[in-house]
Amino acid sequence: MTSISEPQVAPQTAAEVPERMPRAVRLGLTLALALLMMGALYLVAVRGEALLVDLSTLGQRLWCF
Amino acid sequence: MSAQAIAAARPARPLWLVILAAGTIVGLAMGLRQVMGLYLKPLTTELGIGREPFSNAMAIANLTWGVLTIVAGAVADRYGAGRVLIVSGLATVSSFYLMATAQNPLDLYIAGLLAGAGVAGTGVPALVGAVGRAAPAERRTAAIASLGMASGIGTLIAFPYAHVLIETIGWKASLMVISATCLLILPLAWPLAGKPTPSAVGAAKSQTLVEAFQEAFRHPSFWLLTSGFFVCGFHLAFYGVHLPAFVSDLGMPSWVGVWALMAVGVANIIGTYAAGQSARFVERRVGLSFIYFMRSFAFLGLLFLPLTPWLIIAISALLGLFWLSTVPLTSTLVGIFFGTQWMSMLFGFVFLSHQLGSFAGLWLAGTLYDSTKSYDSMWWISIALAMFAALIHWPIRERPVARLREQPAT
Repeated sequence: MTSISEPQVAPQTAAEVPERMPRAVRLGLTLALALLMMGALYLVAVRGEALLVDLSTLGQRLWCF
Repeated sequence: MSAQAIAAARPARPLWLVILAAGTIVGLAMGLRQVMGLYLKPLTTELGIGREPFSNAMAIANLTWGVLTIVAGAVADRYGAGRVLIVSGLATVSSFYLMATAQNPLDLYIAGLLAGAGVAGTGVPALVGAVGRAAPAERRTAAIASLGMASGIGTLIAFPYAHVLIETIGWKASLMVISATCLLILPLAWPLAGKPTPSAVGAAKSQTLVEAFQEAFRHPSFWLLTSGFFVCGFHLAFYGVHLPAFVSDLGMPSWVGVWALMAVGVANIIGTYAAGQSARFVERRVGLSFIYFMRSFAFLGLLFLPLTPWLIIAISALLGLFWLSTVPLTSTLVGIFFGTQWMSMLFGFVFLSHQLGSFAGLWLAGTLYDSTKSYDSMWWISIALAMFAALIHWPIRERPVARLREQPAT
């Protein structure tokens, strides 16, 4: 089907695996998402109607999930 | 199985990495899938074809998506999500590439087929099993809620960015960029790869695919859940697609429809997060009843309140809080009933009901609007269905089937 290896789960206890996201990763992810979201909302603010016009030509968007 | 054995069976990859990889994949897949609608005009103009072939290609994508979600879920549950993600990721990449290089309607149909196959393996239903198995039972709802939030974020940001991309570099080049972006799915599959073992799914005795379906189909609560998810799809598709037209009928400017949908999108992320946390305090069936009950209030507001632009945006935000918040609660209930061995496949079946509901909502809204020139009857039907869904979730028995009851929860 594919070449990706499918390793069996390692015999390692959950306690050895860090469950919480490292602080630096969490901070970076939050910043990146915040920037992306703000950019998206800005773009919608300045060109929302054009977006809607382009989409309205597609009368039947059958998906929503 | 002892708690120590269960802990030992959990994968060595940290849960946050599994969730981050799954969330990024879902966000990419769901967001980029939604932008296809933006290509209707440029693509049909370039090829000199009508809009029907493009619409047919999207219909093929949806049909393939619905059917293959169960298959992808079964393969992911049996052999691990890694294989499914690689195949589906490549299908997604190929679908956008084929759309960019399409010469005739047949190319579009094949692109639609590949897009459906792609999203079937990269969407929320296909990954709930992998995330559900990686998370301990008490954090499973919150972990799956992260996927729902990622889906919401992906959908919210993909539209405006794709729109800018089309205008800046042209529609063909933008499709190539999107196709290349989807290649990210391949390395992201690694943290989710790994064949589930019986110990990882918390079952002393492995169950076959047929046994899993037979058990689910005999379980009344599973049918109640499936029926409720039909209503979810009905509401979401109707509101998401017809809201701009409804706003326009009221004589309001089109920015109201845009911002109302944005309000839905932003509130959806908050609502899904809250639903994920709610499982720590209330039973999931109660949470689902509450969500559907609150939706009926939003629809009543659209019928009886003196609507102004800001009120429509506020009502949309209220509805957004109860939008995809159903996903973590519904999918976790499937895991509670039957364990996580076939979680993606069984949730894939429930999800098929959601898609049938989406289709019914769109079809009925179009039909009723054409005959009455009003959305009033659709609001009433939506309220009735919301009440129906709120009621049928109440008697759900939130406990494992007898087969799992003797074992500790995983």
